[in-house]
Amino acid sequence: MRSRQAQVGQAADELAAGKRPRMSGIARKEAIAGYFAISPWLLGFLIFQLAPILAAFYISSTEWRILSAPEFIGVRNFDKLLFKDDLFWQSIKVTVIYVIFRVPVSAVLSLALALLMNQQLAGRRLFRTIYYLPAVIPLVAVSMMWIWIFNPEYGVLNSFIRLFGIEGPQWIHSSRWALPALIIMSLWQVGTGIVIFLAGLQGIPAHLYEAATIDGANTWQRFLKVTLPMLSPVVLFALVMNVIGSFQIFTQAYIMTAGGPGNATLFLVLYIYRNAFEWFHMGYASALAWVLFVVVLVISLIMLRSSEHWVHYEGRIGGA
Amino acid sequence: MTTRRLSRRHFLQGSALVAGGAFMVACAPVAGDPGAGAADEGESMSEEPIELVAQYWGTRPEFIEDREILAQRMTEKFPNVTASQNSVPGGQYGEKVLTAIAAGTPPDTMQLNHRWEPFFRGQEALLNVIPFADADDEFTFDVFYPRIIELGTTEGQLVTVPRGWNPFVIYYNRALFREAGLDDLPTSWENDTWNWDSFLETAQALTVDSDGDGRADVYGMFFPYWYPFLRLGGGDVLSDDQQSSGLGSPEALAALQWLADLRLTHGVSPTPAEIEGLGSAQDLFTAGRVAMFTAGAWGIGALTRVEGLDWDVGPLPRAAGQPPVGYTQYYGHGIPKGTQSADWSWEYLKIISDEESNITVAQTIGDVPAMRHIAESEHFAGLPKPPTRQVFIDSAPHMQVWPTIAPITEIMSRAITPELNLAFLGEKSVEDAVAAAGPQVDEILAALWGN
Amino acid sequence: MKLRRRETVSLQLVTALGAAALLFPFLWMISASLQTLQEVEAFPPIWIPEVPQWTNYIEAVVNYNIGRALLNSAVVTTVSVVGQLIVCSLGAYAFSRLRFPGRDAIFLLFLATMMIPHYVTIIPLYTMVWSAGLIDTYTALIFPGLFSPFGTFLLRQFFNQIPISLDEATLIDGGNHWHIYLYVIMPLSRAGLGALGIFSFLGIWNTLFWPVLVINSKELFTLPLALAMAQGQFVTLIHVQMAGSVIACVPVIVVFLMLQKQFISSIALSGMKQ
Repeated sequence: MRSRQAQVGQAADELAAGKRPRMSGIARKEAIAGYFAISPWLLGFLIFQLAPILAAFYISSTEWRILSAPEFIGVRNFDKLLFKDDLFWQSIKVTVIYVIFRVPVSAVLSLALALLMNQQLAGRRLFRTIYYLPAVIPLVAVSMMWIWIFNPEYGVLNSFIRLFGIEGPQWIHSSRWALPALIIMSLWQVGTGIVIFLAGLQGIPAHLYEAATIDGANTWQRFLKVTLPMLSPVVLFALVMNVIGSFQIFTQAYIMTAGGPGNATLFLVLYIYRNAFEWFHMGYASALAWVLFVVVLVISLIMLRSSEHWVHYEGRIGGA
Repeated sequence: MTTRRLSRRHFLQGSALVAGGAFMVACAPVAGDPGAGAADEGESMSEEPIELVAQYWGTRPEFIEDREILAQRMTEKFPNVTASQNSVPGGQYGEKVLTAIAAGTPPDTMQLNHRWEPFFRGQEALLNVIPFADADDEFTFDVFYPRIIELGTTEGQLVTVPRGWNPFVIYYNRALFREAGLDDLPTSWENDTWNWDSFLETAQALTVDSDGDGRADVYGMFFPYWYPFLRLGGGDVLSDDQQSSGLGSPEALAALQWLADLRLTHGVSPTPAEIEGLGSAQDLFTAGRVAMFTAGAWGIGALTRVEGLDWDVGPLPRAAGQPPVGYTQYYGHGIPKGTQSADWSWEYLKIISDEESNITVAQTIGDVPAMRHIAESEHFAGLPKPPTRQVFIDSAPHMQVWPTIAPITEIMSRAITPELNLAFLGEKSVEDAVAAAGPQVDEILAALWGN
Repeated sequence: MKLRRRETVSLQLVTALGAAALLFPFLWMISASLQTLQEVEAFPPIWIPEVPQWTNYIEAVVNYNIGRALLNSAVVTTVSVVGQLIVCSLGAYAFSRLRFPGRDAIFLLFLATMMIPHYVTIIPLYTMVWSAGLIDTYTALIFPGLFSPFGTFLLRQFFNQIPISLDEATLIDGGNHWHIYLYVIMPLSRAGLGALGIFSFLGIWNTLFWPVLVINSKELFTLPLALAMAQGQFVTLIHVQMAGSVIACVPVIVVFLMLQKQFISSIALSGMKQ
């Protein structure tokens, strides 16, 4: 669907194309205004986005330890990380496991809660507030809070488990449980997903449900045949955003585990941080950051490509 | 010299803001020319007004006050100088100073220790101070502990003028020792009775679970640092030729195993989870939850302020068949390359390291001064608490330090610590942890030596 | 859609249980922040402290230098959000409404860079900041964040939905492009501006990575940095840490409760617009 503005714009372009490529007074005025309006942003974009991207590209092909000039080494950084650096693969493994568990579980959880919120329940607004609250408070504070919740000796979580006569795991003090602990903690912040899904649910026209009910569909069938297809674009969006966000997990590991125990929570971004700002391998850290980009890009593209098979857009629902 | 510096900075700002990052990196500045320094005397020692900044880490009030006094003394001695301090949190020190040097605005002097001296020397960012000392009649290295100077000198270069040192000792709670029916610790580093066996027995006798909940109320011992014990046991993280990991040696393995057993087998040391909840070794010690702990001389200052705590110090216990090891961390100050005037830096450095400053180290900060005659005077050795201060000083002949090769921090934090932590948690055997760390250490060393 | 009574009751129960589970850590944090160390360690856990230890809060304020950190966070966040709204709305206006040679090329270039994670650019940005001598300044905290690509993109989508006939009307009435921007686009985009504002508020208020890099002195610590540094530097005890965390949460929670509707629609809008 094209916006009206785009149509107008195109029409104008066509008109202009017919004439000499010289601007009329009005068009020149508009162009000047355009350059004027865009210049602060454009300058910022060039300096703080485009130039750093180009620089990062160059840095990733150098060995650069800040004090001496960057030394060009071609693709050696990438060669090293792909074939010689076990810690890189450890960081990929840890990050991917985190994403694989966190994203689907939090999607299901927030969808379920959004469905609940969408019912005519008493205190709906209060509940919505409570569910969303954890998603707004500073991650540093959240992390400090969960350090103590997870403390195997004094933490409230293991105290609770102890009520059943079981000694809980060592959580962030165990290389086996540290990653699950961070996943559990991330599920506490499902609020964003709930809000997105709730908005999507409220956008589904009531007449579709009415029609389905007339056709004899029960609650479950209505969910499968109406809610899910109608919600699928929102689901796709939420999943992609969540994948992109989850790949960039840093604060929790920085505050709570420092990547440990062992390297059990050495997420990719934490590994980038340590290479750059603890060991000062700027070139190598840049190469790692590009890997982050490629991984996120490829996974997003796969998700978008696969969405052709499961995302339904409005026009198609009647016919399907 | 000042004008050149300014114009470089302008150029940097310009290029950063106009041409952007790509260009920036291509012309990233290189640290100042190594030829500068003692050579261009006279010319730079002018009466022109000059501002000098000394770089430190740590922001505790007593530190800030001490540095303020040093700056004032510099300004008093040279009226044309405006001296000041710049103190940053310890965790950001390296990054802060590194980028300041790279940006062409280094501090005039900078604090250095076992962690930062190797790093900045590896970056070739520090001036050799020996030529300055040689050219200066007011200054001599002879007043310092010779071993500190000896350990700090590599290939004829010395980059740190020492100010203080922190011998590691055992701090112990005398009241808890009485309760457990134990005698005071010996005071001599050379004695044979205070060894790893008697240390373990002592720790076991001190570990008490009075309410029977299976969790000790008092732990015998807490070791926040494993490295001193590795050295006590005759091991080290690097091989003697510094070409590979040294953790696989029988001595190193035995020492690490013994440390791991303290917690895992004998239960005389708190777990990380308990430590996390209860605070630092010092907190646990002053709360009477831990009867012994290891730390440098910095423990004196804090513990002296605690009222009603009956404590003392003893030497580190000797491992079977090993000589005494006085593991220590020294610190001091150096001159980064590319300062506005290395000679003025040297003058500031001299004040920061002089006798009066050493007395402050002894009396206010609580570390052992680097000047031997100050350490052995009434300013340190003669102070009343703890009664056995001589233990710190007597460690001098046995002094050993942290490895000095440039990438030691990376070797520790990237390759060794994560693996050893697993061993100390009991998730991995010490052998497996060491075997996993070894190749990573070797790889960093290979990159360092270029093979 | 009507539910039967029993269904409603059970759903209500599930919702309440879920809410309780989510509130549980919060309540524990508040409770622990008012306990003595002995109480925090106790098993089974104590929920109501015998005597509320308000001194924990005083200790946290002193240890973490919270007052100053709050001020810094407020300044940095306010300037960043306002600046971002101005810069991004101008850029978005140009992209959405004004035709000038090169516009579409710029837009394409811009879209191409949008997917690149922040962490790719952080090392060059950091290099620029120290080369320009801006380490440890408000400028370093604020400036690079003003030119949010996401913000421009979001607002452009918003502006595109405002009928162009309104622009034409303004032009016919003798107005110029600035009038359109000021009196047509901006007033009609309050929802979009609010959405972007809140989105950036949360992001900037809570961020840790960038302040860790460019800020060194205590006097410039933002709230997350002050907390993180205190946590890492000198070990403080559970109850004091919890008091510090509570203090850090309060401003966001207050703003959230005041602007709840906008928060919700901010997330929903930035989520729905594609």
